[in-house]
Amino acid sequence: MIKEIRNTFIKEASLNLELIEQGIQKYSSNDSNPELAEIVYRTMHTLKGSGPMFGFDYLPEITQPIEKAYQYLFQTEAELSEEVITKTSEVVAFIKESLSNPDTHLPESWGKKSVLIEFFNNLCQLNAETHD
Amino acid sequence: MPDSTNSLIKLLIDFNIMAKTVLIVDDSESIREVVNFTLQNEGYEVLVGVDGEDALQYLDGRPIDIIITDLHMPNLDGLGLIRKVREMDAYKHIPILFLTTESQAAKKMEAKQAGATGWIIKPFVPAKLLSAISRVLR
Repeated sequence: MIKEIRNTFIKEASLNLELIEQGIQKYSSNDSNPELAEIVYRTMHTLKGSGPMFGFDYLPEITQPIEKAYQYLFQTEAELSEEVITKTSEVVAFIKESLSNPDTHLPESWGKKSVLIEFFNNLCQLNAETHD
Repeated sequence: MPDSTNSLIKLLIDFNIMAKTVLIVDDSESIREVVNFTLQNEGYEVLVGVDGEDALQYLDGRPIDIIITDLHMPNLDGLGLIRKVREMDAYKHIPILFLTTESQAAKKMEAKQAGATGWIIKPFVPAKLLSAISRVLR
């Protein structure tokens, strides 16, 4: 039963990540999507809270800085820079890969994790300074 | 209902013999499933709403012992739900626990002012959820 619920989580998370990818595609083609920041924020928020319950203990570490950065971007309706969009795509690819290999817990792109975390942590810091 | 039947029902409830009914409200299917699984294993009757708006259909006067709700949900969020529930005569005193990833003190205060009974942070372990429920229902 627990495995079935875990599969539900993986399916649900993958669908949300696909929504982000679709939003990014639209955003990249200049079809402005003001909802993108909100979708990223809410998805990261959910993954942070639910991931560890289904064996993905490392998800809060990577999703928290992105959630925080996007919370600011969502609340201020700030424009998403190309770099932010690129890094977001990398995070989404990273999480999708980890979800598609639920029993290894170590995606091939694991080495990128710390770089992505650092990027979004710096963005949070920058946002906080701008806000102050 | 005859007085003797009422007394018997009260006795069963007091001694936790009769199943208590829990309304769980969350827009995440996996969270609904894990909470449902945890509670049914412990003998609770479970009703499930996918958001605040959906949960309102169960608040039609039927006996519900406790509501466990997420905070961020589409259509009607947890705070909106709790405010509506507190306006209903039949449920104005029902315990309501938030089960959420949100941990900001300001949000907790807002929830408390709206009438929340307690707050459980996700991720949660089933034992913690069960102990919070039994503490509130005691």
